[in-house]
Amino acid sequence: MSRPSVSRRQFLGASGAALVAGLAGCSAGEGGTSTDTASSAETLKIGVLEDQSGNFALVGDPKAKASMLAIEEINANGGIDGMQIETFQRDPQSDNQRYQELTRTAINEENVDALWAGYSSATREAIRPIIDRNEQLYFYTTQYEGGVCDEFTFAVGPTARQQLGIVLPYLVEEFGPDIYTIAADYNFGQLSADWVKVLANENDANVLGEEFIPLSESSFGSTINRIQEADPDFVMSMLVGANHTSFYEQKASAGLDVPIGTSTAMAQGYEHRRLDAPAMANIYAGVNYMEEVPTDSNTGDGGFVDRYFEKYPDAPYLNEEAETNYFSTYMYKKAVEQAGTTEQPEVIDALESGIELGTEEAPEAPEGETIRLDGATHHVDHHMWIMRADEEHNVEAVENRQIPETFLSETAGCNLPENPEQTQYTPVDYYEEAE
Amino acid sequence: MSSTEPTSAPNRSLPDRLRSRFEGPNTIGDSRGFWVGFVVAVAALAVYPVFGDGSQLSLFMVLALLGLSLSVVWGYSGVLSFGQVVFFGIGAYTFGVVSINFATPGGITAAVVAGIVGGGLSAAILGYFMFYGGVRDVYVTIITLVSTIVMHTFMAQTAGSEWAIGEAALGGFNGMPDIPVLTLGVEGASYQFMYNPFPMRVIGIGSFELSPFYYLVLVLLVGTYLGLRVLVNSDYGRVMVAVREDEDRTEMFGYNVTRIKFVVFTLGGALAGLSGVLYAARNVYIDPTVFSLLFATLPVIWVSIGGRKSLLGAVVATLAIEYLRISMAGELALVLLGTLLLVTILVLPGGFVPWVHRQIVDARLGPGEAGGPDAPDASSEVSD
Amino acid sequence: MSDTETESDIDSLGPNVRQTAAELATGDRTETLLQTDGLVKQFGGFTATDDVDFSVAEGELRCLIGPNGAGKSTLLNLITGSYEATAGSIYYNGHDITDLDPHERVSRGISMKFQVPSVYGALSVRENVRLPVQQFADGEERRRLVAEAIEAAGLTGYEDVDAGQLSHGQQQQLEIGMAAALEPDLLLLDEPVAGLDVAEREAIAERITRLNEEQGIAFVVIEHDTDFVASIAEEVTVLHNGEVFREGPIEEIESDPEVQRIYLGGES
Repeated sequence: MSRPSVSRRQFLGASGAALVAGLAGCSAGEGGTSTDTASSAETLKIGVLEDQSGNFALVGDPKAKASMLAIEEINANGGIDGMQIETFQRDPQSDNQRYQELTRTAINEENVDALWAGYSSATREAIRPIIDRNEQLYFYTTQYEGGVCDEFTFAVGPTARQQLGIVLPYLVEEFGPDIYTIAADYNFGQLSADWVKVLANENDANVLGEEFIPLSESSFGSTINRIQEADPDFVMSMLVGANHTSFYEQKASAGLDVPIGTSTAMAQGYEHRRLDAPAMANIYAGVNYMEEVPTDSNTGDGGFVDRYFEKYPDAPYLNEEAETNYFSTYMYKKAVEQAGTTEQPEVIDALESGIELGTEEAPEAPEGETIRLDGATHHVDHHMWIMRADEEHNVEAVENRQIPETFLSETAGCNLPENPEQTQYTPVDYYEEAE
Repeated sequence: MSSTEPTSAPNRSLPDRLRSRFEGPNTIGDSRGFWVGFVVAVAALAVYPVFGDGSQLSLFMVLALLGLSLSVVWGYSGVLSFGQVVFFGIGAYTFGVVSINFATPGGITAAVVAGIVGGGLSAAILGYFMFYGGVRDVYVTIITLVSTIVMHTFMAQTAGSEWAIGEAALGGFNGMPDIPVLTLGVEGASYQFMYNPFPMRVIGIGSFELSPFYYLVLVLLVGTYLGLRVLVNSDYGRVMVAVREDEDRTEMFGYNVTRIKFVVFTLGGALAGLSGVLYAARNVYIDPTVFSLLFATLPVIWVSIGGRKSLLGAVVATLAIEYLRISMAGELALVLLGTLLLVTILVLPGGFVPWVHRQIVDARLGPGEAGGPDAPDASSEVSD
Repeated sequence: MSDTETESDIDSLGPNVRQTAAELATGDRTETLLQTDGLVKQFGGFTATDDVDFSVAEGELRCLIGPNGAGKSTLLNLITGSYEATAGSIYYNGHDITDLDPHERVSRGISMKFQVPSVYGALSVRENVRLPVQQFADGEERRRLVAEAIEAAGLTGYEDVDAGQLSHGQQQQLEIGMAAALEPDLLLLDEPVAGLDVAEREAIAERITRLNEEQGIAFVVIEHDTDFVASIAEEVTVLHNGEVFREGPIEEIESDPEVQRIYLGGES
């Protein structure tokens, strides 16, 4: 019996070659261990992981763009302490698994000195363990439900309490105390609705009813009926996502013209540009920033808006989070210069000493005003605005003032320089009326 | 090895008898060459972390267990389940809940078992109602798909603090963070697998750090693969295949087909649950995206492309496809996946790995010899 | 035709029962193996089986004939349990099996070959035959039984060929072989010679007769070919419109003009 033995060798040889080729192709970057430092004496490295495709592309893309704009400006002006900024920018495609992989890469292989990452709260929670394990300086810039007290995380976007906190009292005064809440049925919506109850209690208002709508829902007929039946003085809307946009169109067709206060609509997804008037008429957005905010440094000649669209002429809108990415980059610059080093523990100490920015670097603040990073809570005392859209979708400012972050600092007692922790607090733990 | 006479039990050597348990018509590779190649491949995987990104490969290997669970259920018993991710997710969440509540080594070890049991039990419950309720064929697929959607919707709205089991808040959309690091054993005699690099030094190569988690997953994957090989080549495995081929006919041979499907489905659920436990342990985090439609479809894609009737195909395809998916930019990855799936269905409906194997076998045998008395495969077909 | 059973303890798998049946085959042939009592099957508004009392004695070779649509396959499916009866009962070896699942009936000794050849096309001939045999034999005995079954089916040398590649006649032989490998007492064959040429039909006829005589297996064979029926049948049941039209030894039925008429059409 004969069996061609050469073919067995061929098989082994082929499989061996395939494996080696696979290994060569597989290994990306420096491999399993990394001992070199990423930033040389001349440069430092910033990681930017923002959604430019997938579910959150609409709202995530301006964040990436604004970060890059800030970095370009800083580099053009001599960098940070003479060091040019290198970037590690990737698109995690609204996919939390990818976020985790890219975060690991950014920290372990790219050795970034600071990381900006993520739009949704789910993303933040998915990568926070990696951040904390690696003691990585991390900026989270989206508006969110609030409550994150984490020694390595700087959640510098406005919290629900700040956003609702500017618009709800105003609407109570203008229109009356009866409120109807509609919110997206997930963490952010539910927690925001809890804050509505807390604020209502603080402003002698009442919540007539609450409705939580699944993210996938796009027909609001019965919701609109219930609002009409309840006949509130105004509605608080924390709807999120593409499907929920149709609420505004449907309410316009149904002739429902009750005023609506919101923390989510217009500023992020620019519904007032995308939908036909008068869908967004009488909507009051409580935000730290949107493209129409009337500060000189924003809408004036050569202001933030002008510079953004000069760099990105095809961009559709300059949204709320973009400004947060922008100013937080400048905050980082200030902290590094104050610390005199890029070593992350020292930079965090510098941030915790409290950083203030003026209107040039934080266009949400009017001339002469500042916004302040609160060192104890790692949150920002924002300059908040109420922006109202009229029947033709013209947006103008109704009110503005600084609103400090109070939940963590006053209620929950978060003090990171003294008690480092890695927790998220919720209003239900502290406020009876939130239940 | 190379004998041509029908081998009878007492005359075969121990290695041959051992080997015959792993070989048979239901798996690929029954020659010495295959096993040598297998050992080389495992050795390569063992050495890989020194040269490449072991952390990423550990993720793919965890997912390969999920792929294997579908291969067993679909490829070997004919039940196309879109619900493997349900058991995966339940295993992951169960692990998270139990380990957060009992964050001691003994507690975490129990959490691993609880996760596997959770996966198996949920599969048993769903399987009981489906199979004993007489649901068949495409309706099983639809029900498993629906159960995925139901889990996703349900878990995504567990954001409120009332949705907590003991200390563990389910967290809704945001997921459940702060899962304790994987530690197996009991107080005083335990070993921690995550973020616990094991330094090694080899003369001539240098020193490097190995991740115990990677090796834990590698051992589990290889062990599961070999165990499943024994199962599908056993008598029970042949009945599973008969059920896949023709349920009614198999029932008429006296086999309780309903019970077989139920048992296999439960086993698949437990295996998916194990994969989920490792996934949650690796990320120290779990969220409802594991119940998403895209993730539910992935195992079907891996197994279809790799070859659904092949365990090896499931593993190889999962590793390869997940690597491609992570390396490519967003929508491009989905386009590639769709194209691969189309090509497979149109050109190689049996999948890539069986096709490659056939090319190798044909090349080895040469023209005209296939199936003859000298065919090396014949000796392994004569089994007890 | 009494059905009070002295063999009420025999519940086990094929081999034991076969021996008992074989013992009886040489002796008293009037022990009833299978008995249906008022069996009815309705599909929606359509009655396929209408109050059928049907019985098979141990070791008997009975053919079931009738025009298309008479309900022959339905009756076999009711006996195996693939269909659930709308009304009526089925007794096997004196036990009421009406509520048993198909696999339970098979383990008591009923075996069936489907109307459409359904060997496992993607599996080899050896793998096909192994499937029924592996339930009750291992090791040497299993190999022997598999080899015997393959030989009896005339497929020696085809062990490793995929069953789907066999000719139609070979598949029929294989299927009968697989059904017989269970060593049943009652073997139901639904059109075993459909599509076969004369030589192949003779081979099948011979096979059936041999299994019946040597192993004492009772048969119920559905067939249209009157020559084939004549060559193997002892007893014949004629079905028409779901009812038992005539029953009796082959000689009577062959020459019955009523039977001729229902085959050719005309009022029943």
